[in-house]
Amino acid sequence: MTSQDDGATKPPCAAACPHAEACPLYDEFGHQRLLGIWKDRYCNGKYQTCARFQLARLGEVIPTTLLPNGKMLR
Amino acid sequence: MSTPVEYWPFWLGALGLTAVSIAYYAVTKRPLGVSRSYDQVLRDPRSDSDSERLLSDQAAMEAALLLATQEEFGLEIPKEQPPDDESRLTLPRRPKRPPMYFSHHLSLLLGLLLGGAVSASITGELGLRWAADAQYVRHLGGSGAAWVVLFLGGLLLGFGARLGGGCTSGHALTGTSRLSRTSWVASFVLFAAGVITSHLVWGRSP
Repeated sequence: MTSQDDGATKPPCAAACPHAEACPLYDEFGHQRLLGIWKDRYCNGKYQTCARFQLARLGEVIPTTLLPNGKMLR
Repeated sequence: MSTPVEYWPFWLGALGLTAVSIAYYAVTKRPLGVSRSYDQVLRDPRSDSDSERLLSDQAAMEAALLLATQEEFGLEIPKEQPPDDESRLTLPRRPKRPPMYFSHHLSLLLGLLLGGAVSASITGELGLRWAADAQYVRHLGGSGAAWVVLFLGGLLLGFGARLGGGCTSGHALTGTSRLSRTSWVASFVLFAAGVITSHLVWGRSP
C-alpha cells in the first residue's frame, strides 16, 4: 500500500497483518490520524494479538465491529 | 422415485450460476455464499444487526471508533473536528457496502427453494415425496434409517462448511473466480471427496 497515512503510522520494516486488505476496520483506521494507533499496535505491529486475526485463524465468523483488543464497537 | 434425474445442460447451468453470482454481488456488494446465509439465519437475528447499522452510518462509526480509541489508549480526542482538520486524512474511501439483515439472508435461502420448485415444475417433477429415494434405502437400510443418515450427513455438511469457511457456492463458485488460493484448495478437496465418496457408495462418479 502506498496510501498517504502509512508513512506516518506504519513502523519501518514492520510485518503487516495478512488480512489487512480485507479487514473493514483497517479501512476505517486509515481515515483519521488518531485512529492510526490501532494500525501501529495491531495491523502493522503485533497482529497476532489482534482478536480479529485470532478468530480468522480459527476459521470463526468475525463480528464486523469486533475491535483488535477484543471489545465490541458500540 | 426411481426415474433418473434429468440435469440441465452444463452450459445452461453455468450461465445461470454466473448470472446469480453477478446479480448477488451487484445488489449486496458481497460474494455469494449460501452457508453464510444459513449461519446468519440460524443465529440470533439481532446479534449483528446493530453492527451492520453502525457500519452503514459513517459518522456514527467514526464517533464510536474515536471513543473506543480514547478508552483503549487514553488519547485526547478533540471535541469537534472541522472537515479540513489535519487529523482527518484525505484518502479515498472504499464504497460503502449496504448492510445485510436477517431478511436478506432468508430471502436468499427461500429463493433457492423457490428456484428449485420452479425448475421442477417446468420439468413436471414438482411434488412432495416423504419416502427416501430407493437407492438411499438400498444403501442405507430402511427408509427411516436412510432419513437419519441423511440428516446426520446434512449436519456434517454444515459443520464442514463452517469449519472450511464456506461451502461450494462460497469457495468453488465465487472464491475460485476471485483467485483465492484457499478456495482453489477447498474446491479441489470438495470435488475430490465427492468423487471418492460416490465411487465408494454408488460405484460411479456423481
